[in-house]
Amino acid sequence: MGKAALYTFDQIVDQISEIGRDRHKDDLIRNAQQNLDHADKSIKALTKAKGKKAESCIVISAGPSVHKKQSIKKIKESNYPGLVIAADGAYIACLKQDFVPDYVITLDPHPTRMVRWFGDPDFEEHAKKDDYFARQDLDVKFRENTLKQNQCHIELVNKYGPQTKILVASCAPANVVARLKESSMDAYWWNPLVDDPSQEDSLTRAMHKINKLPCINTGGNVGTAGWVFAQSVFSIPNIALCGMDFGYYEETPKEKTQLYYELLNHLGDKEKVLECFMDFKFPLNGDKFYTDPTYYWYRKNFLDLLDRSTCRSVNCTEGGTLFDDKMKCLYLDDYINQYHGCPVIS
Amino acid sequence: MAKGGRVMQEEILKGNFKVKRPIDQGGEEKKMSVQEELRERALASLGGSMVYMERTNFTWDGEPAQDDKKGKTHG
Repeated sequence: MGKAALYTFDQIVDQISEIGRDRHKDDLIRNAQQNLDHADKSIKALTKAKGKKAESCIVISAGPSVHKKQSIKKIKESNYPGLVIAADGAYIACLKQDFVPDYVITLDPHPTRMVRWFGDPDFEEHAKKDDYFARQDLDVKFRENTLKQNQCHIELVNKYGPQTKILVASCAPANVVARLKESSMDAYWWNPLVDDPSQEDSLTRAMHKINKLPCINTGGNVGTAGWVFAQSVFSIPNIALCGMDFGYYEETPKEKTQLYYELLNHLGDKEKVLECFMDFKFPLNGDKFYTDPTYYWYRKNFLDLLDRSTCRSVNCTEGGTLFDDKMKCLYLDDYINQYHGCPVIS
Repeated sequence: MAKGGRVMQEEILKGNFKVKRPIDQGGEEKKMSVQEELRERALASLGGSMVYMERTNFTWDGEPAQDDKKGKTHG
């Protein structure tokens, strides 16, 4: 990446926190108020993890590697005894493998996109106005999602909902909350910790004033929130991440990424946009990836939090951009084998 | 059009007569505000799916802010 491009990239990354706050502050407060009547059970009511589930955890996110590396299939077939927390975007993929995670976590306040993770009753209308999912490199079948697929997802979630415990942020949009109720999920509520609550104008403080729910740091995305839950709420000492790519496989066309069109609007120049992605080489296998400013920001946030954490975390995504001296990578099978009493094969 | 340019144009055109049709300065301003609006929308989408600014606490439950030890939960 050239100097000029790096400057632009860094400028965008630096602005993201403030941009996100400005964009979401009204949603956070409005949704906290709207959800007050629904938030009848706090995460304080969660039962403590016991036995093997108190020893280790896998957090499943919805990055491209979760499908390419068949992470969910490996977890299911291994009969992994530890706790499993799945991000909302990975929930249906779990159910398709006949696997119900111990907990699902949902956070994003987007009014139309998030409900897709639970089957969208208004799929046609939402798909007409928004190609956000259609153009991304997620599960190809999801990307080519049709009405029929969506109906299948609604039925799956309705079937497994009564067995599902979900950690719901107070900023969840109304259509997600409606689907959780419709599918009889067991919901535990919390607030996202989004800023310094000691400040008078703190959004976190404002949400807490509305509903008195505990506030949990999210790192800006649901996967990192799942990791924070594992270490700070469930107090699990050993945590593995999978599907936490924070980036795209090298062969993914830039036009298929989440931010391509937004960057084009912002920078006004295709050449400048193409320079706005940072390259990485994954250490375990040499696979190449790239990231955009938002994913880079998520990566930075996670590494900041990791620096202050006391648990042992390892990245079992087997791809992506989340690695450095403190964020070690391991093959998922090797991590799982540790908790079945099998030695790690190095 | 920059403010200075607008003033200069008015000065040049002042002369000793009044123009029949007043000069419409709104076009450039409208264009700027549309561009600015597009930029703001683009930036808003760059903000990702969730706000994150908190750099110290993992959790908080209504207590006054304290120095956070590594990984310590509150409340």
